[in-house]
Amino acid sequence: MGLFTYFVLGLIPLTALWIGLLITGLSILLTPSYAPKRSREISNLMNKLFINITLFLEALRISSYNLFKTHNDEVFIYLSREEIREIPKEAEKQFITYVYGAPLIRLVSPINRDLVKDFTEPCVAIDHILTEYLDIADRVECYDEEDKIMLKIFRPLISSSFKLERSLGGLYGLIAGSVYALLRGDVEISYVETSTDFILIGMRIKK
Amino acid sequence: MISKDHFSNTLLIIMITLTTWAFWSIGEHRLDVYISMFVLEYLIIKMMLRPRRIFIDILQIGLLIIFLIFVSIRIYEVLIK
Repeated sequence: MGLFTYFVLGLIPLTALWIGLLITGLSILLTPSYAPKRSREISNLMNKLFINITLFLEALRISSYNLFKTHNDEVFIYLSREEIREIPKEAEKQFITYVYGAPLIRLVSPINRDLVKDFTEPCVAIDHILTEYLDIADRVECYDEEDKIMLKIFRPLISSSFKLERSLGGLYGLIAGSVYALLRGDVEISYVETSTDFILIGMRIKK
Repeated sequence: MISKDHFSNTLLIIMITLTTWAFWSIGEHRLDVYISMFVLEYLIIKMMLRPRRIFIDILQIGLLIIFLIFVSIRIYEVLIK
């Protein structure tokens, strides 16, 4: 085989092919076979934090409705077991308020204006945060239709508990919802589908 | 589903093989032309797919230096003629 390729291709193309194979070999050698270190650290940190939030939400039986709302440069996530139609004034300052007997929880999102100041398109900003800044996904695809948004996040590296996914879409839903709230306005996460290869997040912009 | 890291390696070997075949079929016998093309292909794949690396991409730095050396030699040859 070696002699055949030597006589058919000639010395220079054969040498070039071997150099090409060497470049590919080095590229494979430099490719990590496991999740990046930073992603694993974030994953462990987030999982522990999420367990606490999940237990708290379970205690209050909150897992149905959410609303991502921007106040100044911060994003607040409101969670309730009843549909959130409007946010009472006092809920903007308090951690927990009762609206018609149902508890309304206010969480502060870790995503703020500074992280998205260079972006106008939410999808590009989410892609940047997930693939470049945190390195916890391969890529993001967005589909818009009027007030409905569908996000497909490929190869997510961090998993969240089922309860948290249902309430605010897990870590990816939290990031996506916060970015949309900052760049488009109030948003609600209405659908989350998790698979080993992707996460599908359905959102709705609230008028 | 194949990850972008593994997809970039697969794409690289396909492009390198095709480049070698294309240059061989037109009778190209300058090694630096082949290597320069491989470097460009690697850099384009790196820029487009952004594959992860264990630490800093030393291969990219090395290939870029080799590419610059080849370009410098070509420019020098043109200037001294």
